[in-house]
Order: sequence, then structure tokens, then C-alpha cells
Amino acid sequence: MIGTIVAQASASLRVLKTGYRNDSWLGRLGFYAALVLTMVVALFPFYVMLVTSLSPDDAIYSSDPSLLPEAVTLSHYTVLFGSETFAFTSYFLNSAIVASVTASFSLVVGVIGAYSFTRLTFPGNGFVRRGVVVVYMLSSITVIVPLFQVIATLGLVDTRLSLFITYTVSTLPLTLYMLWNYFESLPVEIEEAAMLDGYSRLETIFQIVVPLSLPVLVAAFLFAFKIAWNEYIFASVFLKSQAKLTLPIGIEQMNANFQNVWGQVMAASFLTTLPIIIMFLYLEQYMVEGLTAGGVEG
Amino acid sequence: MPYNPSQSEQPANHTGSPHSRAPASEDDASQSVEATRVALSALTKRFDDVVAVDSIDLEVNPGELLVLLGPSGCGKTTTLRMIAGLEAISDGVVEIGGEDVTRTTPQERDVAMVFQSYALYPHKTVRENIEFPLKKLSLTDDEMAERVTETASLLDIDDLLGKQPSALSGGQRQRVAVGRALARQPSVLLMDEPLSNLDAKLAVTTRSELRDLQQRLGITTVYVTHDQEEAMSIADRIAVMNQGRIEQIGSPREVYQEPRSEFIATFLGDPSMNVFDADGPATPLRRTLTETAPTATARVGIRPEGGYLLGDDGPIGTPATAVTEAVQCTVTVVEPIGRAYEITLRAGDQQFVIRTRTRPEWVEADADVQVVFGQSEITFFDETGRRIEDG
Repeated sequence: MIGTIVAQASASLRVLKTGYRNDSWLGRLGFYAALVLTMVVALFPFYVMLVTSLSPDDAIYSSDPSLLPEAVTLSHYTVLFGSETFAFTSYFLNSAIVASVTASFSLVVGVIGAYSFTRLTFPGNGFVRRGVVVVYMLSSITVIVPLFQVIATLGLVDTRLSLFITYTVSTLPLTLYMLWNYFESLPVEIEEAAMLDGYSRLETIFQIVVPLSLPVLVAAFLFAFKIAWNEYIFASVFLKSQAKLTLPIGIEQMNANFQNVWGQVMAASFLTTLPIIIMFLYLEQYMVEGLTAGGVEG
Repeated sequence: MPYNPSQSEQPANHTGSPHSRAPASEDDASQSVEATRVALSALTKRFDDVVAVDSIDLEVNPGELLVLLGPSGCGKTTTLRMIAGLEAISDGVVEIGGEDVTRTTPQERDVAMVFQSYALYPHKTVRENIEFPLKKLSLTDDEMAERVTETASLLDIDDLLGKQPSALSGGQRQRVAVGRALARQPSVLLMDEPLSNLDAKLAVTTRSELRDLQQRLGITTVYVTHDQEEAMSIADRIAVMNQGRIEQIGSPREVYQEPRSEFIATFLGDPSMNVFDADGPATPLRRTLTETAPTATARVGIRPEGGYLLGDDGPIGTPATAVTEAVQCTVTVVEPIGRAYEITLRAGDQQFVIRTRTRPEWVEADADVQVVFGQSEITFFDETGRRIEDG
């Protein structure tokens, strides 16, 4: 096993160096072995999550756990939706609101910001651009204390607005970065043509740039949504009341407040990952390249 | 766009007045087209320390097609973009129709532009591309549809209206780009190398169509190109630019036959003018060419068509003027170029090219020939490269 991986690694290195691919059966075997290994590492937790969520309690807490479920039950899911103790639907709704609002905010600000970075010359353009990337490198735990002071001063503790603001700010660097890279690839002449056709800059952005950037806008929305959907630290610090908690906090509280609810926790976790996967599968079709084909010559 | 005699008899009717942004009434349509004047004064563009356009003055007469011609990097496209409002103006004034538009945005200038890359809206059909500028005029749906139909038939793109730009050939895209620019009936049309992406043959037919269209519509046009042949064939007047300055403005004939400087003399014409230093060892060629030179002459030039091979019965071809004494030369290369020949000759250590319609059999590589030059076709330049005018 290790031998083939090493062989594959050195073969890949050779391909990278020479650009020449030598497809021996050993090479193929190594490739697929590496692929399977990666898949197992990436997908095994999801598998365990799904299996646990479907297993009855006695199977979960058995001293001899099995990888294959012996009996299947949906009881953990019915508890999530049926019982008053777990406010799963309320968490879900909160997360959906926060993530949608954040992703939309981030996109609108991102489009205008990325446009000005790439199309306008103003003093400090390069400085601000680099600043945006640097800020993205910071971990949220390092800014949480000062950020909490700001939020507290603004009187926004335990409001959704606190999350809208902080999530938008923390997703914006990625959105900006994705958008400005894409905008730089758009031929400027098309926008200039629109301006000569009588359209203002803002009209040009929304009638020409936005439709042409649809693939990257969808991708940027998805990333921002995903970041906001999964965010834990800010939500755990800024929110207090049960009714406003988002899914990551809600699930963590479930685990903290109750004993032996692994089945329910896993069911909730599975339902938390589901929207992101569905969204991706649905929106993938819009992330096609080549929308600008035929616009400009050469 | 096939030439349509019935349309050309009433050139003004289908365009209305280029000034009228409102729907043209019956009266407007019957009035003659009043074209717009464009005036640039001391127009300057600086990029940091580089002066791209250096204080140029230029007047484009109403209804005229003026070509900005020059080598790449001479500032011609920058000048065009400043007229369009796409480039901030460092200094100077742009006036369109007598109005100072120096500090206005492109959408306030009522100019249209055809880009080198065409810049069609890739997410819109041809019809939507042409409609896009029309949406900014206050037209009813019927009027808009009518404009689109008119424009499409003018450019012979009726059957393309439903297509996406990506489904069109280069020539078709070019037509759509011109149609989009003209549909709004702007007061000034700007074209930035509109033919450089077409293959040579299509470019030649398209340019005569563009010229025909421009004359029928009588729209003031500024046309940028680096192709001197294109400029010669299409222009009312040519402004030759070099290093951010206009070297000369004049009709194609003027700039070709009376170039004001050595730069223009050598830039125009293919093959370009043969130019020699006037001072140096007194070779037969130099002696012959500088015989009548004014005292200030530093360089002397002769166009390829100003040299004639000497046959048994005198010069081959028909020199319009008196010719010089014969110079003994050796043929190095004979290149047939369609209906003429370009013959590279060597006299001593100096090489030059002449062009001739007819070539006697015996003129071939390594043959010894006699060459005379048309007396009035010899051009003299002074130290600074300026042409020394006759007389």
C-alpha cells in the first residue's frame, strides 16, 4: 500500500516536472488507491454520522459497535421535529435567515467593492486590496474580544443584526477576492460599450457585469452561505436567548444539556449538512464557465 | 450590405436627424441631416510620467470621416477614447457640436463607438444588443422595433437578429457592432480599428461598405487605424500621429504626395520611401539624387514608383516629369506583387526598391540595369526631418 502511494507520488511529481503522463497500470492503481484513501478519510465521518442517526439507542451505546446498522429507525428524526425539548426547527430557521441575509449582503457589497477595486483607480486601491486578503487570514478567535466590545457598545448583543454584520464582514474578503479575480477576466470593452450606449456606471454593473458574472456570483453566494451556516464562535458569544440560536450552537447545547442524545445530535448534524449539499448540487449547473463567449474577438 | 440604389437616393430619410433623441417626426425626417463638428484643442493625456497624447489640436468637420493613423503607441486610440469620454483628460478641451464635453461622462456625449474587439453583449441576442442603446431613448415599442428593423436591413443582418453573438462569424459580429453603434443615430461615430480582426479580403470589402454607409448617413466619424492602405481608401482626411503628436493633417493624396516630414514619407507607402543621407561619399546614386537639392538638405528620399528602369527606348513606364541622369545598378531581388514588380537594386553599397508595372525579361537577379528618377519625385528633408518645400 505505502509502496504504491510512494510510487504514485513520484510518478505525479514526474508528470508535474515534465508534463508527460506515463499511464502504466501501476500508476493507475496508485492513483485510484490515493483517491480511495482520500475519499475514505473525507467521507467516513459522514457515514458514521448517517449510520448513527439511523441506529436505535441500544446499537449506538453497545460495547461492540458495528459499522453496518443492524436495525434502522427514524425515531431520532421524529424526536427532533416532534418534541418541545429540542428546538431544532427554530435553530434551522435561524440559521437559514442568518446565512441567506449574510450571503446576500456579502454579494451586493462584494460586487460593488470588487468592481471598484478592478475598474476604478483611487489612492489606496492596492493597499485596501491587500488589507482585505490579510484580514481574511486572521482567525476569528483572535478578534472575538474586541468585536464583542464593539457589538456590546452598539447594543447589539443577542440580536440577529450582530450576526448579519459580523458574518458579512467575515465572508466579505472571500467574496471580494473571488469576484475581483473574475471581474479582471471580463473584457472592459463590454462595459465601456454600455457606458457609450448611455448607461451609467451603476446601470452597467447591474445590467452587464452581474449577468456576465453569474457563475462566480453563485459560487460566492454558496461559499458565504456555507461560512455563515457553519459559523460557531461569533454566534456562541453574541447570542444568548434560545429562540435566536443557530444550528451549530443549538446542536452543541443539545449535547451539553442532555445525556445520551448522540442519535439526535447525529440526526441534527446530518440535517444541517443536507441543505448545503442540496444547494451545491442545484446551483452547480449555474457555475459553468464560458458565459462571455462571443462577446469580444481574439 | 449590398448597395441599394433606392435607399441611397434618399439618404436622410431613414436616419432622421442625428441630434434628435426624441422620436423623429415627419418634419424632422424630411430635413437634411445636420452633422456635428468635433474639436480638440491642446488635448493632452499623461499616464504618470509618460505623455501619451501631447497637446493636439484637431477639428473634425461635420459629416467628415477623419482617420487617425499612426504606428502602435502613437496615442491614436487614447485620443479616440478621450473623445468618447472613456479616458480622463489630463489637459485641453474636447468640444462636440460646439459644446465643451471635457468633463462629462460617455453617456452624456451622444457618441457611439465600434470597438476593435466588437464588445458585443454576450448574454444578449443580436436584437437585444441593438435594442440596448435604444432603451435609453424615449421610444415606444413600435418605434424601437422599427429602428431595429431599419438598422438590421441597413447592415444586412436581418436574419441574425435572433442569434447569440457566440453563434456569429467575425464578419457578422463586426456588422452587429456597427449596427448597435448606428441604431441610436449618435451625433459622432468613433471606430477603433474596426477591421483589424477580419481576414484581409473581408476587411477590404467591409471598409468600402463602411465608407458607403458613412457617406449615406453623413455622420461625423473618427476612425483609428494603423493600416495606411485602409486609411488611404476610406478617409476624407487623415491625421498622421507620431509619439503623441499630430504630424500632419490632410487628404490622403496630400499626406502621401506632400508629406511634411520624413516620418510621414516613410510611414506611408508600401514599400516605403527610399531615404538616403545627403552627405557622404559622392556615389553616382547620391550625386544624382542631390543634384537639385536645396542647401539645407540632410536627407533625400525617392518613392519606389519614382524610379524607372532604363530600357532601349528610354525609361520604362511613363515618368510624369523630367528624369535624372541614369544610375548604374545591380538587381538583387525581383518580387512579383500581383500586377506590378518590386525590384530591389544595389548601387555601390546603397540599396533601394523601385516598383514597375512592366519588367523586361532581362531584368532578373544579378542583372546590370540603368535607373533614372523622376526629377519632381525626389523629396528633400532638412536636419530635423521636415520636408523642404519646393521652390
